Amino acid sequence: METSIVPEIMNSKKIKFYDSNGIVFQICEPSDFLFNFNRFVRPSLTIDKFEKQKYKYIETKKISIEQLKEFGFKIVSVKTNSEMRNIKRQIRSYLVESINTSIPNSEICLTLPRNHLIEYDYINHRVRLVGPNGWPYRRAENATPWKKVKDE
Amino acid sequence: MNSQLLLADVFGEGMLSHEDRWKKVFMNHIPVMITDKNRILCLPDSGEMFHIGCVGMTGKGKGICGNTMLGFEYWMKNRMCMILNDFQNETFEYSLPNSNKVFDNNLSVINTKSIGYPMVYVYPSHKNLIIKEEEKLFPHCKISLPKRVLIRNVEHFYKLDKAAKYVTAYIDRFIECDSLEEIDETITEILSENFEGKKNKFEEMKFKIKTIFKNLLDEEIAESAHTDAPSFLTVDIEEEGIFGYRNLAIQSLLVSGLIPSIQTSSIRGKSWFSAYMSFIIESVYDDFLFRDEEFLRGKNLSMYVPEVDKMFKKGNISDLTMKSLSLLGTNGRRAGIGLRWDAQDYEAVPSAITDNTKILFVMRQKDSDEVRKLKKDFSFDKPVQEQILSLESDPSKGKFECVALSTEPLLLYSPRDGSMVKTAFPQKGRLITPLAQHKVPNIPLKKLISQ
Repeated sequence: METSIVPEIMNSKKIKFYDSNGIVFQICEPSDFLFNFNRFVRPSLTIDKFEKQKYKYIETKKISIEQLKEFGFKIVSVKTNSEMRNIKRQIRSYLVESINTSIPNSEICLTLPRNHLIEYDYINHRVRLVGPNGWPYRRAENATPWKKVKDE
Repeated sequence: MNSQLLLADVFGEGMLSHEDRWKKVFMNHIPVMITDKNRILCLPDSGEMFHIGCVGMTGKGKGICGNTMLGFEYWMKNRMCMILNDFQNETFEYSLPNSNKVFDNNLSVINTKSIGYPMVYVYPSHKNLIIKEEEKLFPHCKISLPKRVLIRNVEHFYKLDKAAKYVTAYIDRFIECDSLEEIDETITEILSENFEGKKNKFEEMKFKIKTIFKNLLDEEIAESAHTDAPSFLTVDIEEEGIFGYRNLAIQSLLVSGLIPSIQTSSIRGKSWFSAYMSFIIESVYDDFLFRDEEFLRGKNLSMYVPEVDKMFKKGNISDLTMKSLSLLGTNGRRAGIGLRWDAQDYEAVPSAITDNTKILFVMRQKDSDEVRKLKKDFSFDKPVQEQILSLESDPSKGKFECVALSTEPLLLYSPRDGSMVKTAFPQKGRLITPLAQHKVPNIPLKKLISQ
């Protein structure tokens, strides 16, 4: 009996196997439930062009303490990781990823006004403090002017 | 277009049609993770095959990671893939699309849908092999070793001891034998030359050598033992203009576009397991390295090796499988073969593999000592170490957290504007979840098929 494997996704490709004696070698019965492949859907991202054109997208990058001090942020030292996590919860996803520190074995925490956050645009090397209310992009109305920072 | 957006600026997004507002950006790289910053982390595509590893405690998502990569590698990149050792019969589910709603929701982030893979389950034939009824429902085949290969490598399959010098020096004569009777005659000829006038020693050595070959053939791993377990397969694929392609069974299955998954649970404890697997690895390596054949030329192979640390005893440097995998570790790139391995114990993986592993997905580790072992090959600082120790997994929510470490820049797609940036910094996130079904603990295969 001929063996044929006809997975739909493989464009009805018929594959025949033969053993060393040239006899048809069967590796399966055609079976609907096994070869009922749907068409593969290539991964994609759905972009909201309206949102994109309104606001600049910001990528995070390491930022030094000195650079942040230039913007008048009060820097305090933090003893525990949990305090750092609490502060980070106030910071939305585009923000400072990690902070260089010249103080060994401690982590530096930013004291920010309530519901404020820092946006660091590493493409254009600038930073600003953004005010409260709503999602980050809508906070643009309540932001300080962009200030250029030194490239790291 | 721009005027529509300007109008929308003033009067709101209701001014935009669906096409004006939404744009689809197709991804060209294999997605694996969604980072904590909601970027889609993808594997780089340098054109060269590199090795990827996955380490972590049991049940934290190593298999999920491998399943995810396999599906996208096969369907997106049209790449040849194989699973070298399915110890626990866990890959049957890969033939089926993912039926887990939560996993499907994860896939919707990248606008794709679950789909099974065209798997073929390959059973190394031997005298005690039993295939379960539910496994027979899937495409499967039994394979054997070419007799010549078995005899040529007899010293790896069975201990020869004092018989070694009479066997290995005359191995070419034994290779020409087709039956145990012919082997017997050959032994008599060889030993007559060497034991002239010493009848007792002659008989003793003859019995010893004959027993070795008899035991070897009795294992029924050579092609002559079974008509339903070929060592070679010939393939015809009319639509691709392939007619009469003949090669070892695994290679023929690869050329036909199927994904062989070698079922090793029944041979794992055999004394010849290492020699058998070593032959498979090296024959595949030779075929891809030399690429004399039309249908392998220019092709790459992703070789999935689940539980690589369980394939040999830790520290046993003479183990044949370890040597063969180490060969792939150092030379796989030249042959176009990339290993995708996973392990619980990072140190048990041969250094030839870990030294050449460019990307490592780290699931939850047992303790900081285990995490420190990774620093030998990947640099990361204390916060990342702490992240690794606090990773979580919740299969019911499709959540498998991991940290991606890399010596090559990884690719991050932004879901907001479709842009892609490169980063070599460690990235924490969660796995995307596979396209195919993954084995669910406590749900037997039989129940899954009947659903």
